Amino acid sequence: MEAIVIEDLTKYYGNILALDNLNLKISRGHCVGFLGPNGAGKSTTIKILCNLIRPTHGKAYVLGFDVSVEAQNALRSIGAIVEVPEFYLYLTPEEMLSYLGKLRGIGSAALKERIAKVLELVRLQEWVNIKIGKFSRGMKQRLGIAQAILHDPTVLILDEPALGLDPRGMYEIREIIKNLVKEGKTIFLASHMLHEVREVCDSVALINKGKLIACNSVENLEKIFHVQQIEIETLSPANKQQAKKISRFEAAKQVSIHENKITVEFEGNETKRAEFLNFLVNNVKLQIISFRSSSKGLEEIYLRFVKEVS
Amino acid sequence: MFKKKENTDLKQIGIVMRYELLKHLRRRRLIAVLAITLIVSSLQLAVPPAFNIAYPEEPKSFAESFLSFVHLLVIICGAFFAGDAIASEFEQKTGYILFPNPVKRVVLVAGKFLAAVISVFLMVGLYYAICFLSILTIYGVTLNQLVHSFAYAFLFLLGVLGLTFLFSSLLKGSMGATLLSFFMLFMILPIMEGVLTITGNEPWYSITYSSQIITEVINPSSVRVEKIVVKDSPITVWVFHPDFLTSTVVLLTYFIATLVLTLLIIDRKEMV
Repeated sequence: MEAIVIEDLTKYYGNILALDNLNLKISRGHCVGFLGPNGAGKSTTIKILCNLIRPTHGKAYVLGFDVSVEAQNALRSIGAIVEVPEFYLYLTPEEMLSYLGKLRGIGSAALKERIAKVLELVRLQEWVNIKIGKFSRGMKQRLGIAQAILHDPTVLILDEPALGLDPRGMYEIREIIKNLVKEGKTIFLASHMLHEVREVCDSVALINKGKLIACNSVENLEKIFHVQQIEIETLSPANKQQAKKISRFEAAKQVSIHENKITVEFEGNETKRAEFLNFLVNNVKLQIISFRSSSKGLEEIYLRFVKEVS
Repeated sequence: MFKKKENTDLKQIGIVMRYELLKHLRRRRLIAVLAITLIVSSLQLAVPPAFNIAYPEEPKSFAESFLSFVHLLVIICGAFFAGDAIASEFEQKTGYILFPNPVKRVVLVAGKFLAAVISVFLMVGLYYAICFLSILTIYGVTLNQLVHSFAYAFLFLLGVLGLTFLFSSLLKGSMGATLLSFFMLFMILPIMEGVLTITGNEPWYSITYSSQIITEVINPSSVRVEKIVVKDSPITVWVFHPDFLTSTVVLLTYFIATLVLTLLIIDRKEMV
């Protein structure tokens, strides 16, 4: 069963077309990044999925429930952050979460326990009794995550969840999302942070001007567009002979070396990457400190797509 | 994993109502209106003796004078407790947190409305209690008409809250909704009534005109319409006394119609 199904979704704001027959399916247990420039239709899609606005045409289903028709059933399994979360400033995080938890029918004892758990997870446990009015933007963002996961939802719809967070906060949010993926949750993540998407999502949906322009795994997209990049850090700079050897590797399409850093435009799957790493260590005799796929591949795809459609 | 119970609409209404009441308490609006109620009551009781003016001879006249503030009290309460009830969810974007929950918008409106009713009821009730005790202390009697007046005041508060909720659902800003409801009830409708009265037309359909039964019931007039012709002058002064049944129906209609309209609007309103 698909977790999210979007069929011919169209939305007009007056004369402005925000979504143009958008079609998308997200299987259960997958984490899908939702990418697109500002005004592409990401927030509109998310708002329709959360029953905040109605589509002009088309349908959106969450776990089989039409969100416009059976909103309560659909929303029961959704945890969401939409835009920058704002809360009732006169409440404390505990009271705010308690309000939302009670509305969702969580029993008092379980709710108390759960609130403590989620506040600890987003590192707000020391602010539990402080009014939200005193919170910074980053803290509100953390609280936004806490309310989204409070009821242990099956589907998480997150609109820029790391917005306004410091680097540590961003890292922590990524870790939380990764853990949720491991728990089998379905995550639909709209973000401008491509490295975040690259790190936590198994596939991406690219949208521009209200139309879906691509939906595939990051690897497949990189393969199709030959834009996979690998960044290698070495203990000492590679010499000319070593550079030549690297260039001879079949999947390495372009190699550039700058001091201790080697960037390779790569074409190949995980097995090929493993082979390449083995090759660099055993044949090229490089002393490798780090070897990782770069989010620049995804960035390149994103820019290319947006440019092409524009 | 933890257990989640299926919440009934009624239970959810209770939850929304409790947190809305907490909002009124935390934002000190209840305290502000309480202060207004106590100050006005004190002035009504303290000013006459302070200027060596005797209280009216009849307890009914005292009650009429004392309760003339109820109209304004209800309007102030309406603006305080209902003006931003719905508009703020859109304006301050708290709706992004509240609306993606499995709660019908009708339930949210009902909970907020009940909280507003309770808040206004408490304030108006306190004012009537002070009136009752004052009459008992000063005149040594109790007035049964106070109960009827209180019932009419309750109908008026339902109508005022309905109208204010309607403005709150129609407008984007809380301040706009609050000011519109206040000026509509305090200035625009009374001015319209004044103009209609001058022309000899009874504005029976106006909520503020109908609310005059709150004081009219204390000492009902024997005639419905008084036509006063000023001698040697073309001016004719009309005085209308609202009919109790008609006014009750008008107040109830305002309450039901505005609430139904609010529910229809809020159900369709998009959180863009």
